[in-house]
Formats: sequence, structure tokens, C-alpha cells
Amino acid sequence: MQNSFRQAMAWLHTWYGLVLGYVLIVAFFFGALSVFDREIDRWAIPDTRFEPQVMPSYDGMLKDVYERLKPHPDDWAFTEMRVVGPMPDPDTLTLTSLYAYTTHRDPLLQIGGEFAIPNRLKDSADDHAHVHGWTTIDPRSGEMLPDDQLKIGSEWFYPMHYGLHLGWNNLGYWLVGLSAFTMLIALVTGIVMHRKIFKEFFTFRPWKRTQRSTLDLHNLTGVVGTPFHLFFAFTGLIIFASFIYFPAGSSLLKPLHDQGEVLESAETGLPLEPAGVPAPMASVDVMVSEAKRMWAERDMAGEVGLLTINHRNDINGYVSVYRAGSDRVALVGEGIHFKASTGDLLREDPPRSVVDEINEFLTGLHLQHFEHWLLRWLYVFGGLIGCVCIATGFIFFVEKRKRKHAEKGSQGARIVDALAVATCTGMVIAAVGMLVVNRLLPAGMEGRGDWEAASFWGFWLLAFAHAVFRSAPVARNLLNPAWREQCYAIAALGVAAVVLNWLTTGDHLIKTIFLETYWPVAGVDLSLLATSALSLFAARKLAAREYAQQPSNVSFEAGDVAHV
Amino acid sequence: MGANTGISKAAVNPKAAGKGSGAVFDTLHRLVLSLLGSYCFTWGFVAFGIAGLVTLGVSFHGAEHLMMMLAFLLIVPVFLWAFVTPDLRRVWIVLAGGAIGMTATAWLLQLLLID
Repeated sequence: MQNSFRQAMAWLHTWYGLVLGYVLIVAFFFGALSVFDREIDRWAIPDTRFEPQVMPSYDGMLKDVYERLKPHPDDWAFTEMRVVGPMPDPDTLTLTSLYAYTTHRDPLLQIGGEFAIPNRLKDSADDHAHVHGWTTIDPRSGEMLPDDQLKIGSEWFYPMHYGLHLGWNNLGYWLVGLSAFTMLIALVTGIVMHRKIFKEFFTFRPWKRTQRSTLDLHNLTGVVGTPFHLFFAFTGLIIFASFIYFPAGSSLLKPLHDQGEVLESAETGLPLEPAGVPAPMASVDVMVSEAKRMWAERDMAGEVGLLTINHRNDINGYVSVYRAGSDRVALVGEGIHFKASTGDLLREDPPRSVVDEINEFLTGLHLQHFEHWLLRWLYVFGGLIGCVCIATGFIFFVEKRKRKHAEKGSQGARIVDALAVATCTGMVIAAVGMLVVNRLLPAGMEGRGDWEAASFWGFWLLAFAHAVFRSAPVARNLLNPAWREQCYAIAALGVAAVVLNWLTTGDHLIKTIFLETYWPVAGVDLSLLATSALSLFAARKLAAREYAQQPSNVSFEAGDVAHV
Repeated sequence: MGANTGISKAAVNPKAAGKGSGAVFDTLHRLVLSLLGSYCFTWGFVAFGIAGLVTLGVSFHGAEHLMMMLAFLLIVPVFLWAFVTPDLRRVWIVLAGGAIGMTATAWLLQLLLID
């Protein structure tokens, strides 16, 4: 392995890592938050602060709820663009298929379905003419949640993790995918660049000058996190591969895919299409009970995670009952399928092939729906270690160059540093600020979710403007005070969020930990306070360093510079 | 990597080759080619792999799952190889040729498989 190869690896690591690191750190941070997305939802929507519920009765409750389900306005608008002619009155549409989904952490139930529409599709390669509807219900009462109550954890932080809320042409998915690919490249090139991996695992010298100690921390977190980061970048790419990154089955090989579906349907006995012959539904509750009995017989007792009905009210209709993934890595499984009109058993999913086992293990381990709280926290720390690795990469990049840039009058290090501030502390300000706004907005306010989303971008934009505005010292080989000031802002916002939660809901920490224990809210509050404490500590450290850099205190700096 | 296959210093560091726009172009050319080329090559590999496995009797979704996993194991070394190989013509031939060849083969296999 000659030097030029190592040099090429170093170039890739530096520049690829720098440019896409800004996206990657966002994916890591919001991925870490997404581990507790349901808990953040509970914090953000106080009305939903109750214990997780099992799948409710279909016959007794869900059936009526689905009668009230309407096409979602977002999908209605999207479908209007895909079809020829005006769409029919939404109240006249028939629900042809449906689903209900829950996990061991969900007090609420997510439901949805497809409504058939008579319109012709503009694109002949497009699939069935359907419009989708979805909503969230309280499974205790069947009441639908207002659509403008944003679930900040699962509907904002989580999509931020994989799509950046940039929906145009799936741009966000591509950017995150490119950054995950960059993570793989950065890890491989990092391993090639650093020959003393084992030694770097044990090397952290915070007393050394910033450039050295930052590189130590970058290497240490990179080495410690390598298996975690490799795995998550790889599996994250696999999750979206077949429909975003390599959609061969829906483009070049669509005819082969469609033929494969027909063959699979013939093999499984689950009809691919409706027959067009109306048929009433048998009791779904009886089918669910039968499925549970069959799982128990195989020593796999558990709750229903996913319930689907295909070709509803048609003679070809069938009900599929899937076991929740609380006790294993794969998300849902052991599907049992019944003929909807009679309740007769159609099929039990056979054991998966080796390839499918591996695939479901990989994606399941990324999406972690299993019940294991310690592992869940390790995921958070793994994600945050990734953030530290990327952030120290930025700082090392700046520290290595800023003195030279200051001498030459170049603005390069200043720009990189400002972007690093805006990304690292800016995204935390945006996330915590959004929670503060969530507690400040009136409960019944119209368009509340839109305001919360706007506040997230607003806080981030402010953080960016502030980072740029305060960045001039970097061009003089000094620290950007925005790092310190934004750390103070995070500390203040974190405490404000906890206090506001107490004032607006009465749920203070003594109550949620000791009196009426409710860990989802207590956990978010404690995490916010820990974030505040850590930010305050960082701000004070930064203040000390800035003080040392002032001309009147230059003696300390002179000693420091001697190492450069 | 062979003893003389390393990328030249100029290719990854325009400053090393002077400040000419040619060196910047070379770097951009290499970067875009290695990124898009490895992507297209892997696309062809995925399509060829799915069609090939279906030909061998594997179900479409089984083949698709396997190829999606292999895709990301392949694209990283292909990208790195493309980035460090000094002869860009060779990179072009392998990546474009491979992408077109495998995609075309997948398409032909599909023609044979569709009833």
C-alpha cells in the first residue's frame, strides 16, 4: 500500500467527510432522538400520556372507526395529479384495504387504508388507482386524534433522520443516502489512514492543544463507534434500497416483478386482486384469537403488531394477523392469513429463507422495535458518539487550517467553522426550541403542528445567521464565540422546556418519577436537563478558552501556540 | 492495489500540480466518475443479479433482498477502486461497460422470462 493510495484515502476522508458530514451529523443526531420517538410524542402531546395499549377489538371498535376514516388531504392532492379527470366525492369512496399498527411503546394506534377510485391513471406504469387515508386513534375509545397535533418524535425528528423533510423528488432520501455512503467511505478510508487503530482506542489527551486533543477524540470515537456506524450506515441504505436507491423492481424489471408477484400469490393462496364479487366479513376478532392460539401453540405467545385486511368486502378478501416484534429483532412476523368472508385459515407464513432472515435481522436491528431498554439507550449513545466523531472532524479541519488561513487572509476556515456551529449546536437549538414552542402554543390552536415545524426551521435559521454573524474571530485564528453563546442558548432552552412542561401540564419530575411514574415524560425531561448541564459545562470551558486567547492573557496562548 | 496503481498526488491535490484549471477538472472528473460510475455499475449489478437469480429459480423478492445487501458491499470497493486508479479511461471502460453490459443482460433475461 503506497503513500499515494493512503493520500487518496486521506483526501477522500477529509473532503467527502467535510462536505457530507453536515448532512451525516443531522442524520446521526435525529436518528439518536428517533430511538425514543414515541416517548417524545408523549411529551409533546400531553393528552396521550397514558400506558401502551394492545391492539383493540376489530369487531367491537375498529370496524366503526374505519367507517369514519376519510382519504387524507395530502394524498388526495397527490392522487389528483396522478389521475385523469376529476376525483369523485371523498364521502362516496369505498375502503378496499386497511391496516392497524402498534408496538409495545404505543399508547395510540396508527390506522390507514386504501380507497378505490374509478379514475384512469395518467401513467400506465403506475400501479392501482387508489387514494390513501390514515390517522391515529386512541385505542381505548376509538377517538381520532386531531390531524394538526404534530407527533414531534415520530413525525418530525424521525423523518428528519432519513429524509430531512425535503420531499421534492426524494431529495432528502438521496442526500441522507449519499451521506450514509460517505460514512462507509469515511470509515474505510479512516481505517486505511490510521495504522495504529488499537493505540488510538486508548488515546485521548484533553490537556493537549485543541488540534491534537480534537483529533484524539475524533479517532477514539471513530474507533469505538466503527462497528455501530458501519452497521447503521449499511442497514440504513438497505432499508430504502429497493424503492429509492436501486428501484429495479419498479422500473427496468417491473414486468419481472409483477410476474413474480402473480407467482407468489398463486403459491401462497393469497389473492392478488379482488374478484369483484361482494362478500360480508366474518368476525375478525375470532381470527385474531385463532392466530394468538396458534402462536402460543408454537411457544411464541405475544400481541398483535399489525393487522391488515385486503380486498375488503370482496369474496377474495383476506385478513392477515402479524405478531408484534417485542421479543425479537425482526419487526413483525409469523403472519397468519384467513379468508375474510369465512374466517377459514388460508396460510401460515412458513419459516423465512436464509436471505430473508438476514435481511429482516439487519433492517430490524436498525429500526429496533424490540423491547430492550438498555440496548435502546446504547443506540442513543452510539448515535451521539457518531455526532461527536463528525463534530470533532469539523473542528480538527478548522484548527488545522485556521492559523494558516489567518496569515493568508483566507476565509475558508471561517466558513467551515460557521457551518459547523450552525449544524452542531444549531440543530440542537432547533430541536429543543421546537419543544419549548410546543409547550408555549395554545392547546387547541389551529395549525399548531405547522407553527411547531416553522419554529424548528426558524430556530435553525437564527442559529445559522448567528454563527455566520459571529464568525469573524476565526479569520484571526481565534474561537468563534457563537459556539459558547449557542451552548448557553441550549442550556437555557432545555431548562425552559422542562419548566414549561411542568407549568402547562403539571407533570414535574417528582411526579413523573416518584408519585405517578411515567418514564416517557420523565426520560425526556431528564434528557433535556442533562443536555442543559452538558451545554453549560461546554459553554464555561469555551469561555475559559476565549479568555485565554484575549491579548491581555496572551502568555497562556503563547505556550499553547508553541506546539503548533 | 499494485505497486504503481496509486493515484497521483496531482489528482487529489490540485495544488500539487499547480493552480491550473486542468488539475481541478481532473479532480472533479475523477470524483464524479467514481461516484456516478460506481452507482451505475452497481445498478447494473443489482438488475443483473435479480434477473439472473430469478432465472435460477429464486423468487423475485428473495433475489431483490439479496442483491440490495450485496449492492452496498460492492459499491464501496468499486468507488474506491475508481477513485485511486490512475488511468481514467480504464475506469470509464470498466464502469460504463459493466453498467451497460449488466443492465442489458438483465433486460434480455427478463425478455426470456416473461410469459
